[in-house]
Parts: sequence; structure tokens; C-alpha cells
Amino acid sequence: MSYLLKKREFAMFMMLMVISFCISLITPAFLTPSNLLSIVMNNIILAIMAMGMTLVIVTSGIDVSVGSQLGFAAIFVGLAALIPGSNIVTVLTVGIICGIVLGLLNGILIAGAEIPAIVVSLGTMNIFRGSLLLYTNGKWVTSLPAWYTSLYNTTVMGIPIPIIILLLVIGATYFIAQYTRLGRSIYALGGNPAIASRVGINTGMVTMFVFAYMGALTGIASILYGAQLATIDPNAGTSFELMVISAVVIGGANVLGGSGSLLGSLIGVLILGVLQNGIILMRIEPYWQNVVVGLILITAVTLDVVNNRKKEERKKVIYVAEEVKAGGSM
Amino acid sequence: MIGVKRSHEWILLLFFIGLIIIMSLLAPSFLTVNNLLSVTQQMSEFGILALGVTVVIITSGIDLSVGSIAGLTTIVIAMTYGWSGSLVAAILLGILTGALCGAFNGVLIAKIGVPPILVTLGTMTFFNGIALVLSKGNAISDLPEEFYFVGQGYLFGNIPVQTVIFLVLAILTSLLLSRTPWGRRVYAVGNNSVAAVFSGVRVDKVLLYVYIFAGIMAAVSGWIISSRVSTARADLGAVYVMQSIAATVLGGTNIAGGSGTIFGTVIGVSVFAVLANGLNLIGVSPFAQNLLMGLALILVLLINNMSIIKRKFTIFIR
Repeated sequence: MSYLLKKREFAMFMMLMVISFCISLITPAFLTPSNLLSIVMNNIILAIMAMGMTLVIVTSGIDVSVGSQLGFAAIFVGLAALIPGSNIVTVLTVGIICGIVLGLLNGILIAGAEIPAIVVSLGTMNIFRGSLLLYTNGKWVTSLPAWYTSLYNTTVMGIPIPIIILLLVIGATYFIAQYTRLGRSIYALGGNPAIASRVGINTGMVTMFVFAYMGALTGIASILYGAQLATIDPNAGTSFELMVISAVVIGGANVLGGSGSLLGSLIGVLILGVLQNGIILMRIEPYWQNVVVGLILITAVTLDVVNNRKKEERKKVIYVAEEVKAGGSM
Repeated sequence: MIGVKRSHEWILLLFFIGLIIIMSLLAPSFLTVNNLLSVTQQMSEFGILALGVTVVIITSGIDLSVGSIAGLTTIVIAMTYGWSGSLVAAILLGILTGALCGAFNGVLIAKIGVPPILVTLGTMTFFNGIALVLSKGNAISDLPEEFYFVGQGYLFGNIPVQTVIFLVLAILTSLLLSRTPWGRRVYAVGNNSVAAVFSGVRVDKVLLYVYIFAGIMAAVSGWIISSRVSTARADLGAVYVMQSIAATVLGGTNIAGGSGTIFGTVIGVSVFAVLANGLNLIGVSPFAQNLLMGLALILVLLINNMSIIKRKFTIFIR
């Protein structure tokens, strides 16, 4: 299984390389260190949230409310930053708590009332955005303090803070997925929920965890969102959920659950980021971006299905061949 | 109509009647013929979208691309008119576009076997991209006066044309689902596609037509939207996608497939329309409307799953 996953990541990585190669042939400005850094910096929020979404999708869930969550947490982070005497610890706490509360709400509804994840998050998407707009009355949070907005450009030992945060998030998520019982439970739940609960996994708790974790990461992302833009719009993050889900799906996660890797999702984020950057650099009309992104999504998922089917068939042939060798007593 | 006896639709119907009573108590102008007719006008645009979405969800699929198809349709209609001068040709080509988009989804889902949510996530972006490229991101508004009849005209004095179209399409879809062999196959595929195969149902064919149907409904919806707002724009349908899925689910269609009725969907759509209209009349801000619509969806589903919640709660207490 992990072999198959690696193959998929390799294919997507090659796709990323081919796209990058083509863009760099057309426009030399692409392959400069400063441009590559700006691609990474511009997609850190997407990457952080894609880590959480990978776990959600692995459990065969989906969260379309993350865009609303991002806006919600960003506004409260901004308000917290405006309080005199607040510092990075304050905004971090506010952002993460906001995210966890919203995510947990999704998790409780999904696990507790057994309402499908897509329906719950469809409802909470409206609830989160509606209550935020009602609270702010549509007003933006502006004139953020300098210590907060400089967070985005500050470097520690030459590495920008957003990149450090991203690396920490990747590390934590990788650790959870790879080295903990919880991580194994997440994959088990997505693979087969009935069997997972029979072997003693508390499926409700696992579901609540992945949605709360998604929320926590969205909270962290919201801090960078405000710091990057310096003003926070209560409509922030609208339809961002589709970007996050697209990146994870391009990276090879199966929405039916059970498979998906963090590395794949990061490659998915990079493919989207490189495309967006390339279209701007090549001075192609920006309207073409959706055509290209859509085609890549469709191609990726279709190739995945066709590929898997071929492998299944080959497995079947080998199985039959072994049966025959074993004496043909089928 | 089959399935009306099932408890879910009754709960929703009670909820709906309660809502109407509350609204008419809070806003005196709610319960007037003209206002109720304008409610039906507001609901028909995403109601028609929801008809297609319902049929798709009954097969345990989902179609996120309907909004983009509606948007693309408006562009195709406007551009064809601008180039040929024939409104009939423009509308026919628009509806054909919807059917082709649906067929594109259908082939990938039914023939190749890609999960519907993935296909339509991709085509949602792709169709929207095509519409943007065709229109260069602009709104097109040089449409003839006759075009506005569908979205702004009235029949028999004060009955909105789009309400009539919605009703006719809803009845036709309901008959299609409950009275035709195709309808029975749609439910069979949603219930258990493996069993459907063994009972001789061509699952791929059924699915293909389901997505073509959703595409055509999206095209009709796009046609009406652009006629009402007198412009064509790529993003006109986008806001209605989530709303139409929510209304369908609210109306009792199981997102896991196999059950659901058009009757339920029409009530689900009506709940959203009455909420929006009533809250407007009372003077509640549009921000709160968003919140209350989300709450209504979650609340009805919570009431619906009460037995599960009770069971889980007792286990949790112990």
C-alpha cells in the first residue's frame, strides 16, 4: 500500500517538475531564488491547512467550512492583536482556540449526531460566516500594530517565521500520522469504519480529533493571514476551502478515505502555487488559470483511477495464476 | 409521490408550517398573495438547480459543478445571441452546453469510475475557467428585451414566469423519478449499485443520464438567472451550489444515496426562500440570514437524528 502511495507521489512530483520546466523555458524569471521563495511564502497558509485537510480526508471526511473558519479566526486574532500589551503568545492562543472550538463543533456534530461531514460543514460554513459578519457588521479590522504585521517578514537565523511555522506544522502532523496510535487509528477509520470500531478504536474520538486539529491549523494559518495582508476582511477565506481540498486531492488523497499522504498534499500545494505564479509571469490572461487548474485536477484523479484499476487487475491475474499453480482446486 | 409518508418529510413540513406561522405573525406583509408569489420567484432559480442535484444525490453522487455550468450557460447564451442575433438558437445552444457539461461529468463518473465529488470539483473549476476565458471575465449585458421575459415577466397578471417553469420542471422530475423505469433504476443504483448490476441495470448508462439531467437543469437555471439580472456573467451560479445541496439534504434526500423525493426538495427549497424573505421583511440583516439558514439545516438534521444522539448520549453518560 505504501509502495502504491509512493508511486503516486512520484508521479505528481514529476508532473510538478515538468510544469516548472515548461514555465522556466518560457520565462527565465521563474527559476530565480527570489521567485521560488515567493511561491513558497504565498502558499504557506494553503500548505498549513492542507496538512489538516489531509487527515480529515483520510478519515473519509471533508470540511468545506475551513474558509469560514479562517475568516472567523483571523478577525479575532486581529482584534486580539489590537489590545494594548498583547504579543505573539496572545494571538497564537486566540487563533488556535478559535480554530479548535469551530473544528470541534464540526467534529461533535459529525461524530455525535452521525450527520455526514459534507452536510455538517455546509451548515457550519454558513453559521460561522454569518455570525462573524453579524458580529463585525461587515467591518474590516485595520491599523494592526507593527509587531504583528512584521511577523510575516521577520526572519530567525535567516529563515522567515512563516516557513518555520509551516515546518513545525508539517513535523507535528507527520509525527501524529506516522508514529502514534492515533495516526494509525485515523488511517484505519478511513480504510474501514466498521472494522476500525470493532478492533476497539473509538471512531467518534478520532473524528472529533481530526476536525479539531484541522481547526487548530486553520487558527494558526489565520495568524499568518492577518500578518501578511495587514488588514482583515470578515469575508476572508471565502471559497478558500476549495483550494485546500483541490491541493489535497491533486496530491493523491482519496476522498473515499483510507489513503492520502502529507508529502502528496504538499506537492499538490506546490503544483497549484507554481501554476498560479507561472500564469502571472508568462502574462497569460488570468482567466486561463481556472481552465488549467481544473484540467490538472480532472487529469490527476482520472489517471489515478485508471492506474489503480490496472494494478487491481494485475493482482487478480497473479492471484489466479497462483491458484492454478497450487493445484487448480478453486 | 412516493416517500411522502416517511417521517423526515413530515418533520420538515411541520417545521415549514411553523416557520410560515411565525413569519406571518412577525411580519404582517408576509402573508399576502403578492409577497408569497415573490417568494416562489426567489426560490425557482436555485430550486431548478436543486432538482438536478436531488437526482444526482439519490444515486449517491454529488455535483459541485452545477453552478459553474449555470454560469457558463449564461455566457454561451449571451455570446451566441451577439453573434447570430437569434434568441432561439442562443437558448438552444445554452441548454446543449449544459447537457454536454453534464455528459462530460457523466462519462468520467460512469464510464471511468472516478468518484463524483472529485470529478465535479475539477469540472467546477474547469467550466468556470471556460466561461471566464470566453467572456474575458466581463459581464455581457447587450441582450434583447424579449430575453427578460423568463426572469422578469408574469403570466395571468401576477404569476412569475420562473415560478411556472419551476413547478412544471418539479412535477416532471417527480414523475420521472416515481413513474418511469429510469426513476426506479436511479433509486436502485443509489441503494446498492452492485445489486443493481446483478439485476440487469446498466449502472453506467443510468449515471450518465443522471449527470446530463443535472447539467440541463443547471443550464435552465442559468438562463433564468441571467434573464432576471439582465446580464450574463461567469460567476452567476456559484452562490447557489451549496444552497441547492443544502436544500436537497434538508428535504430528506440521503447524501449516502438511495432515498429522497422531489416533494422533499421543493419543501427544502421553500424553507430557505421563506426564511430569506421573512427575515428581509422583519428587517433582519442579510448577515443573520446566512447564520439562520445554516442553523435551520443543522437543526432539522439534529431533530432527524435524535434517536442516534440519545443513544450516543446515554453511552457517553455511562
